[in-house]
Amino acid sequence: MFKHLLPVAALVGMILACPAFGHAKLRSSAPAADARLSAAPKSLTLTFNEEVRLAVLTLTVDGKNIPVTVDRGAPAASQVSVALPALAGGKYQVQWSALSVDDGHVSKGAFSFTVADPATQPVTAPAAAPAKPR
Amino acid sequence: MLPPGIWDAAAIADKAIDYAATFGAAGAVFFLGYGGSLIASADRLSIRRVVLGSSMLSVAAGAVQIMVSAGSLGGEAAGMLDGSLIHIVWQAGAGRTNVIRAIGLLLAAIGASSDRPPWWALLGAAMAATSFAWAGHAHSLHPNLLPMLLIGVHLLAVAFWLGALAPLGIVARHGDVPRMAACAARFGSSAVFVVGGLMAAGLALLWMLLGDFNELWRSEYGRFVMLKLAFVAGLLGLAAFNKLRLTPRLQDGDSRALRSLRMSIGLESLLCVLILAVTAAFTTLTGPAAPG
Repeated sequence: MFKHLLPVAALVGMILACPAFGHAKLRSSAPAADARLSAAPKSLTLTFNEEVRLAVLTLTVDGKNIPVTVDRGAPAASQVSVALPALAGGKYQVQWSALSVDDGHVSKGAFSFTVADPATQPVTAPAAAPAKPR
Repeated sequence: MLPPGIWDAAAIADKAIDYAATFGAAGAVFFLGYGGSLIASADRLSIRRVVLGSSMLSVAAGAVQIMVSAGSLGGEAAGMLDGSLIHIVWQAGAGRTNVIRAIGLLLAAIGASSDRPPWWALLGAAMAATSFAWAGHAHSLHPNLLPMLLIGVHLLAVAFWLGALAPLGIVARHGDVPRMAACAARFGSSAVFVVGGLMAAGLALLWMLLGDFNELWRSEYGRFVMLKLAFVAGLLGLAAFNKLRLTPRLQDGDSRALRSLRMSIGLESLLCVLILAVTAAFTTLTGPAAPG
């Protein structure tokens, strides 16, 4: 009797174990979206809800492009970090695009953070928070 | 930088073409397998041309799909030819699905040249039709064995049904009533089981993706699925009309039924285009609700 129930239980387990999936979403970033930082960050980290391959990351300030290197050959991961050059004070726009390795869909997003000018009063940075997809 | 809408529109259009071409080729080979002996040699030749043309279109659409995804990732037209972006897309499942589809279509197209397609041509057609299961939402479920089996059954049934329309249209255009009656009866007797399998597998898969049928009207994904189901209901109505009303009239030698059947096949083809376009749209633009 138990032997007959096992395949049924396995089938039910397979059905119930299935989580619902959508396209890859950015869960959080460091620096966080809309963060105001007193010191320039040395890296930018994006955390997704599933494994992705980061394809593009552009960083601009006042319309000027800041060169950052994305390793397109890196293995898929749910957290991706990119080293940043020395950043001066200003409001930085981040645009990213990534491919979900689960369903092969393209996801894109954008957010911004601000680095305080060293000449001005230091400001506090909020904890990492979800960034809004574009 | 091109607006994102252009990439989505290009991806949807190309995916719909890929679906139509692949199911058209695979379904035509299936038709030659179960109905090839009933039709005239000139019609067999026309159906082989459909298989060959659709296969080439499918492979081309698959290649364009990879380039469009690379372009969308890069955000500009130059991304379509960027080797590193194409490599990312290829590795994320597009390579696997396109290789399986191309091998399957090659076998199907070669095998379709014989009077009755050999088993390996039917296997190739099945490989091509089910190649879409190797990427996408069902494939992304964990574990994905059961969802992939269900989507495989669903895709095979879609190919059998949608892919029979062009061959049936080819046979219908010559006005040979007894031949058309035999083909419609042969297709209709198998279609009952195939459509049953298609609906059962589709609904089971939908349950696994949504987790709750209330999502059908709550989520954007669900509302797209509802639109697709509305078109499918129309297609089912036409198919039932063909089987229950037109096929018996054809078997009685009523030549007016042939004209009605031609119109019905035209309407079914239009509904198929809408179904494939809606499917391409919701599998590109939305997904089932994501956790977190």
